Amino acid sequence: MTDAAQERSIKLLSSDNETFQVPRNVIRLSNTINTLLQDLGLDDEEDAGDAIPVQNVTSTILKKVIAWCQHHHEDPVAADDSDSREKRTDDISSWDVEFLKVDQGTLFELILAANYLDIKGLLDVSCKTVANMIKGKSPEEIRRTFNIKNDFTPEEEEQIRKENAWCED
Amino acid sequence: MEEEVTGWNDLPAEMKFEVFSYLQEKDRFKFAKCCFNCLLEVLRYEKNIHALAIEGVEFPGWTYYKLKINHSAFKVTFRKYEDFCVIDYHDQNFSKASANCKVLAYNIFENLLVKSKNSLKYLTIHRVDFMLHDGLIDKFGRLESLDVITTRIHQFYSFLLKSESIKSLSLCVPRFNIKKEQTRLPEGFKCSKLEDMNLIFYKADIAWDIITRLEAIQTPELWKVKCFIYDANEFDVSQRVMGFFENLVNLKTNLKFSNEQFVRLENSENLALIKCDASEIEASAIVDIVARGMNMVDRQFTITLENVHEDVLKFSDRLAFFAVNENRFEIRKNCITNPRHMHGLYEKNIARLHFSSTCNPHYYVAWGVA
Repeated sequence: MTDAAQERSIKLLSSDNETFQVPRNVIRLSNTINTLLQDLGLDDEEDAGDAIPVQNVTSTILKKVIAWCQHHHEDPVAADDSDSREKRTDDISSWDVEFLKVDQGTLFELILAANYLDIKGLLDVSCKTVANMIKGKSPEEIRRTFNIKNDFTPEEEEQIRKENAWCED
Repeated sequence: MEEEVTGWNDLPAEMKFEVFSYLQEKDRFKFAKCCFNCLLEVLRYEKNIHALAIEGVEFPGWTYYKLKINHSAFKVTFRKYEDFCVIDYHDQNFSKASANCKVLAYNIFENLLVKSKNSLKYLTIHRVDFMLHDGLIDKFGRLESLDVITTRIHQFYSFLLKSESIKSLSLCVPRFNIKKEQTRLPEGFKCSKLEDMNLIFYKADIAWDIITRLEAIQTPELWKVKCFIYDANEFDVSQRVMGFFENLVNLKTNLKFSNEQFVRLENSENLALIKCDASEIEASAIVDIVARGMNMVDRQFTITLENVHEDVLKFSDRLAFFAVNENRFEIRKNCITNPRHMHGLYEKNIARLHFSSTCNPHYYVAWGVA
């Protein structure tokens, strides 16, 4: 990517038809957008032309995604830790903690948007936040947190409890 | 109208797995206890499953499946048959079966198989045709072509070929819509760690076809085979099955043959284990078959008779008493060891006798006939 390309802007179109002008070096965190521009041969163009439709993301969520990218676009590229099984969740920056203090619907939509736009950092931090909402909670508390309906019969619950006493509190 | 809020269930599986990856095992299984789908999701994520079983529970006209999974740390027995797969084998009324359930069941099973390739030690497939459910029926409710069925079974066998961890394999090959060409084990089948096999066949010719493939087996650990053939009418085949296993060195073999017609057992004197419906058996016939068993050299054998007549049971009691007194028979645990135990068996109309070949069959038969 040339310096000129770094300085220019890209237009993104949300699912509810709102257009956002985003600096190219900010949205570079999205692998989906990067690939799209490269595939279309527009990465080095002064004018990328029409707004790129981001069909699965509403304007509210896209705005937040852009805000996150704006804050993190100069972060060093994180090492790929996809193979490590037990990953930390206590390393979320204070800015991200504040950023993700949102209602649950918004949090899950951020996860979906991060996944769609392939923004690894945002996906990681939002999944960590959800994981933190599960950690240390009893099944009943988890159900309440995520509004999950318990469809086990009392007999099944008893069987699971008996067979897996090790993970009882 | 109230706007729907995006929730946990709106996340695709990969996203859920991403969340699980940040949880320790204990927290994952607490999550699994929340609901049935949560349980499935966690199990689909796990990679340490070491035992997997599909068991069919048959009702008139219907077959329900339950999936049993033993994770190294978490045991689950699914009892919600309706959440898995319901399929009607008898009148092909597939409309009642939920396609989603079938696909879900198959996908979970396949997913677990693949993920557990190197950790799975115990595998039970109650009916091989479980593997067909994803492709068994087309959108018009018709059976898929035999090619599709064959491919599905071969995919399953291919998994077996690749597995390096399976120690125990239980396989049931049903009679319905399965031809021996479709159940044929691939060339070069080997499970190097296989210790025991439990094979159930409904048809003797299919049994023989599969078992001949086992000749290619290179399984130094294999020491126990249980083989049950329901349709033992083809005794020529059954004998060949028996002979094949006998030729395997260091193999502790139990072969069971079931047949409605007791008379067929005349040809089965080489059987290690005989199980039959004895409702039509006379006491003298039992003596006869025991005598045939006694002629086997250096072998132990077990006879299980079900639905026996009262006089036969009394006769069995005397046999057991005789055996103990003579101290020449080995009485296996759970068999007739004392009158009280005999009484229990009597109530169930089942007699089990276990003999070693060290007894004197002539003396024994003479006594029995008298």
